[in-house]
Amino acid sequence: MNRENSLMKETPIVEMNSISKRFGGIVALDRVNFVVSNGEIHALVGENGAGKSTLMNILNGSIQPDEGDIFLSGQKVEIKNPYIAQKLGISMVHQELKLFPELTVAENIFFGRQSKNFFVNWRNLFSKAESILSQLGAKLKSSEKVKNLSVAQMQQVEIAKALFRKCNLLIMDEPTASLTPEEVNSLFVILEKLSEDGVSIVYISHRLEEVFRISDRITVLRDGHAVGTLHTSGTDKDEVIKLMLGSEKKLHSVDRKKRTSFGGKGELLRVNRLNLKGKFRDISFHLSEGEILGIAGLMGSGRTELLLALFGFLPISSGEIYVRGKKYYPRSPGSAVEIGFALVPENRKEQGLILGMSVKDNILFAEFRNFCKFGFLDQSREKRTAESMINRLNIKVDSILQKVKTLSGGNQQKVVVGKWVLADADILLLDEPTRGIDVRAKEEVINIIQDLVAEGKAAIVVSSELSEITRISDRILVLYNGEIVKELPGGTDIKTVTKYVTGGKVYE
Amino acid sequence: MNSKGVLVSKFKLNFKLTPEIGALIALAIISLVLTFLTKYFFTLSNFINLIRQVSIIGIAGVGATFVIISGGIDLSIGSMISFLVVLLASFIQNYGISSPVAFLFVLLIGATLGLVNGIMIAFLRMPPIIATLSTWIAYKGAALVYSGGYAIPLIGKFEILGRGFLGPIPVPSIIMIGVTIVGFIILKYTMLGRVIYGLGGNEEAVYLSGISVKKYRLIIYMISGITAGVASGVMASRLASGQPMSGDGVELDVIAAAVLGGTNIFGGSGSVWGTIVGAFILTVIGNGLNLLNVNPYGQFIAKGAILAFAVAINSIKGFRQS
Repeated sequence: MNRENSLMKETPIVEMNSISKRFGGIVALDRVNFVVSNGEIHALVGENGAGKSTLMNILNGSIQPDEGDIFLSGQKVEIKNPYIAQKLGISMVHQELKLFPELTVAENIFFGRQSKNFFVNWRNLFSKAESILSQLGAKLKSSEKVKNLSVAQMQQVEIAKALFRKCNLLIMDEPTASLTPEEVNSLFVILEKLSEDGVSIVYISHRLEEVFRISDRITVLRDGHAVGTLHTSGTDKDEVIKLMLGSEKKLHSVDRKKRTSFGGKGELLRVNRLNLKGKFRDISFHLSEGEILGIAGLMGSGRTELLLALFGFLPISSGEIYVRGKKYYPRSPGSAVEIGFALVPENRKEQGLILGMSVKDNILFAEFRNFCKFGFLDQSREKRTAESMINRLNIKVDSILQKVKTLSGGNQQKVVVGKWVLADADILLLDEPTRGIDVRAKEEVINIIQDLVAEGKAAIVVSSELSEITRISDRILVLYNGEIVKELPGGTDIKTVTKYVTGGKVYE
Repeated sequence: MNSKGVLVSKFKLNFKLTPEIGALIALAIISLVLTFLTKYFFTLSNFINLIRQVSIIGIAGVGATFVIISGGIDLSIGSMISFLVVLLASFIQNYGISSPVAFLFVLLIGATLGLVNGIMIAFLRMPPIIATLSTWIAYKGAALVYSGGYAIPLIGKFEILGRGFLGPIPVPSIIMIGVTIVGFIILKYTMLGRVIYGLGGNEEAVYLSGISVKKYRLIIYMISGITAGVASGVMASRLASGQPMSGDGVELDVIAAAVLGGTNIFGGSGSVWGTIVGAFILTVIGNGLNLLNVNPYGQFIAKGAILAFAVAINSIKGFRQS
């Protein structure tokens, strides 16, 4: 690329100098420097929680830094809010697209600026939108309602919107998370065209394969530090992964202790060529008593949908499931619970807990029917059970009647887990069981899972934290774009797992 | 912390100003004011009059409270009462069915009318406000069609439920107390109760706990139909006839009572005794304005203003907390 040579000579479009940000006691960013040159595609990579979003939210004006300066084309600026960012030529395309589904493509592009006087000149609006879209090479009708578009097309609308606002720096947050390979290709065509036209692009992604295809340079963040900026053509995935993970300090399989002593190895679950249209296909695996099966995969890889389908929350399109050798069709969560499934969902506040109810009621929720005597709940038994579960899982509460919404994230998660421990479920489906909880609670939750499995139960664990997956799983399935691309043994080094998770089949 | 600080924090722990207690305090203040303003308000006969008047809203309000706590709404209550009143009078007067049997039939039919609401909401996935708006219209129509628009007289029959006394206490008040106690026990001490609060708090979490949301939705709307049935018994007896418009507006009174009594209109929290307090507030205000010779049409304005005022206080409080 001949662009590269000229990269450092001009004044960079963005220069973030020594940016620091703390949330409470946690340091999210520590004196981070980040420079984007004119017209380059600059990838920003790092593990979850490394500080990528925080950094970009600062650039976008959504968050204010505690320390540090931002220069745009050499001018020092203060970006107080996203509106000012837009005026300065910075636009961000978020992972969750923020469009109005009931309005047309054109109205979304021009939203808030549809017309200068009271009436909307529709013909003018549509033709102006078409010209922006054709500039992008997007094949879209500007009079179509946004709700009828695919995710990829909505993204194109977002980009068109940014262009209309005279954006010269476009931030894309995980833009390919829910795109098909063909859609990724056409997105890349658009991004390349934009960069030729002089628009700089910051590209946040976990998918290293794509990062290497599209970017000119890569900046790696780790634990709130910028640990390196590399020319894409002068590096390789191994080097980037090494930077992302840091020194090989991470633990290996030490925690898969005690469970080896478990004798019974009866098969609990067998899944045969399971399909859910548009989410995952041809998923086959088995799970034995006393086993933890890890599922590694990016957001949008179908990992969450797989668990929700097994639990009867999403309807499967085809395939078979056997539980203890008997065929089982997941009709509803009710039927799943009856046969011994439990689900700790990805989002505990929205799916796992009733925040306004007490700790006791939340723990008992899946089990009320077993606490009924002639239709009435046995209050004293309820109380005893809830108290013993709170002690067993070491949940910090003032009283069992305390509302769940007042607990910390870690304690809330333990309440969700406690609900299923009480229900004596055999097959635990755990979706990001340690997300958003502190280190100590994380260890405790992992220990609870290990203990349950040591008793002869089995667990399927989905986690974005690969170190956690490799540490506790007996086997690891790697999901990529809805398919199992690899099965790895527990304790596989994170580097190898990361390769498959981010690169899919390329390593086969 | 000094000893004074400890005392204050202890006081806070032991006494929490719940919306129900707030409503009770409001009721006490309104009553106190009316006691000073009118001679007749604080008399035994007016008290008995009040507890009899409040009973229909109180009884139907228990079912409405179940529905609202579960995150739903039942607009059809008034029309159910109108229809059931007409049926009850007709069963006794035209078909000569004995009063207890006729009343039992009416309760069953009430449950069925509620079941229809439940099916539309749980299985046809209609928003509760639309589903019960449709049946509000349809059941009203049913009452008018069945009666031809005329009241069916209930002369000399079926007097106890609405007009009877047990000692000094009116029978409808006793029924209301009974229904309230049953409602209270169900909400507090049964699985159904917990599921009702759970549904209003987070329906998805309830479903993902393996509980059949549809089944419980049906039960909840059936309960609202049954309490409408009980209320229609009191209504028919009190009016000594089956009037096809007799339930008009009750649905709004019961919703107002529930909200005044601290039930969250979006579900998840509330109580039946709060609704009874709310029903008393509405009734006492009506009674007081009558005693003060306020134009009966003007009373609507006063009631509306008080409802808006009460809810505004709660909303502002809730907003501050979050």
